[in-house]
Amino acid sequence: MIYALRELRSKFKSGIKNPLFIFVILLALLPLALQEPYLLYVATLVLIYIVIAVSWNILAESGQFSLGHAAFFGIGAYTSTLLYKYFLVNPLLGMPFSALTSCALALLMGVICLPLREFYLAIATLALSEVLRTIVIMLPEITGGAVGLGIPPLFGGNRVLNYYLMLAIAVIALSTLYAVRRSKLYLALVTLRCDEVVASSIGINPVKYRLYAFLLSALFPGLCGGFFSFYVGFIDPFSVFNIEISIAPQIMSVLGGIYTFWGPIIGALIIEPVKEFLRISMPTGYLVVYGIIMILCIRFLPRGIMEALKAYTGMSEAVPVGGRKCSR
Amino acid sequence: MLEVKDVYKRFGGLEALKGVSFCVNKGELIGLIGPNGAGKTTLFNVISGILKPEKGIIKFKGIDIVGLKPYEIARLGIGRTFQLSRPLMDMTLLDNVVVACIYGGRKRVGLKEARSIALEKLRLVGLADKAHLTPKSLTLLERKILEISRALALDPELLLLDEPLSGLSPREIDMHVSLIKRIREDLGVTVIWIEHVMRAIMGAVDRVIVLHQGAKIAEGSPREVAKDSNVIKAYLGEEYAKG
Repeated sequence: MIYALRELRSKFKSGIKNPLFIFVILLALLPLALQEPYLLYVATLVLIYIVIAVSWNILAESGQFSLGHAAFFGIGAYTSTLLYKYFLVNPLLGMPFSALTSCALALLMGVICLPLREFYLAIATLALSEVLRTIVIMLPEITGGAVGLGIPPLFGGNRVLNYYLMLAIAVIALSTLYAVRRSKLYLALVTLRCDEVVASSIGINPVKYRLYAFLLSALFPGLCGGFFSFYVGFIDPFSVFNIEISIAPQIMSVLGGIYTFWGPIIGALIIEPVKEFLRISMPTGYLVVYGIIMILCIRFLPRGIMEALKAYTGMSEAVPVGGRKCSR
Repeated sequence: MLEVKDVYKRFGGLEALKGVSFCVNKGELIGLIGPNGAGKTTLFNVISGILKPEKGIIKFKGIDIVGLKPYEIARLGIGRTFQLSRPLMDMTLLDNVVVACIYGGRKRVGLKEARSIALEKLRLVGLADKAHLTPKSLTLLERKILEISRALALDPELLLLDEPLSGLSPREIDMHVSLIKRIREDLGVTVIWIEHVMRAIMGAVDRVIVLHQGAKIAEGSPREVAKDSNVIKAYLGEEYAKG
């Protein structure tokens, strides 16, 4: 008993030093600094994009590139909305269902895309998300079609409460994916990315683990979608099946550092606010910024800010999956 | 232990394997030779499940493995290396071996246990002090050793080595050959070894199988095979003289 307590305490102590823990504390204190509702709105969007970008990156880690993550976000958004509209399901209860339908879609997408690699896969995922949007538009009796549906916003539209709800979702998502990166599942995913033939020659079932990556990658964007429609109190196919939601995670991951945990987070922290503020002065100006960032990154910093940070701090390039080096 | 019977494989109009049959006994070190294009690597790909033969039976430990997926065959205990060495470039040496241990090893192990097993395997081949580097910093010989070490992490009963000596210097060749011999002697692993470096293979193996244009043209001890008129006609004459 005492031993267990002591272990718990030492775990807690090492947890405090964990950068993820510190990051979450900072995010939790943010509403104190941001009194302006608009800024809090942007902060909530940043959280959503952090979750989507980190999720997108875990799929990329397995060597699969998606151009269709808006599909997961969108189906999540419509799930919680329609559950509320037709069955009066409380949005908080509906959100887990958003994650579920998103995973079901991922399974379908994964199975359809199994024979495809690299950009063929990317194009297929893009097509699937476009198809979903079209389906929603073509079923106006159920989905409200292109006009969309209005729903009462969550917590009566209270920005602070909504921010904390989204933060809770982000904490679940980030800690799950953080744990995944320290598991043997992650090793299988990276092996698949490096060399699929070698992977199967050492006992990894490529089909199974590629599907796992799809499921993991879809879970939290679906949840975010379920939150988003109730956050804005309105849903239409163009805003949730928005190609912007599919493209942003890649730019964020590449800028911050693809194949790293913190890269997509750093990318989202930089890009989403810049985009929001640009949107006011010039509505599509952020696309220009995207383009410039992408070109500069690929040319000068192909592995993103994380790579530059590592070079600067002199950290070794290879960190074992366990995070810490094991003793010899 | 391994029984290959009348295996056919064609690529379009090319018959890569035309009814190849042979047996491998437990503990043997077999050399598989033949001129370029003889079908040696194709044979490996068929055995390890990457390619499916049109016809024929392949039995490993009495189980018909034709039609099994590569990862299933790996788990049954057949490890392999590749002609052009293929280390997992984004992973540390340790993780290269750990992942094979976890997914291909016959014992179910957790991450922690796999790490200590993997480190032991790396120590066995002399790569332990580079365990936390990526393969990018390794020499060709070290990459090949890493690949063997990764295959050994499966605890295989049969190891397929595809040209382990290509591209190595004479000194490296000697070092690598002694490693391969040690794998058979110390670990008791049965080995089939594709090679073009005759000098090295003829002195090391128990038995040689010669493929030519997709068919087996000779089989026997290195001495017998070297004298075989078919083999000399096919290619050994020139090549062996050079070696």
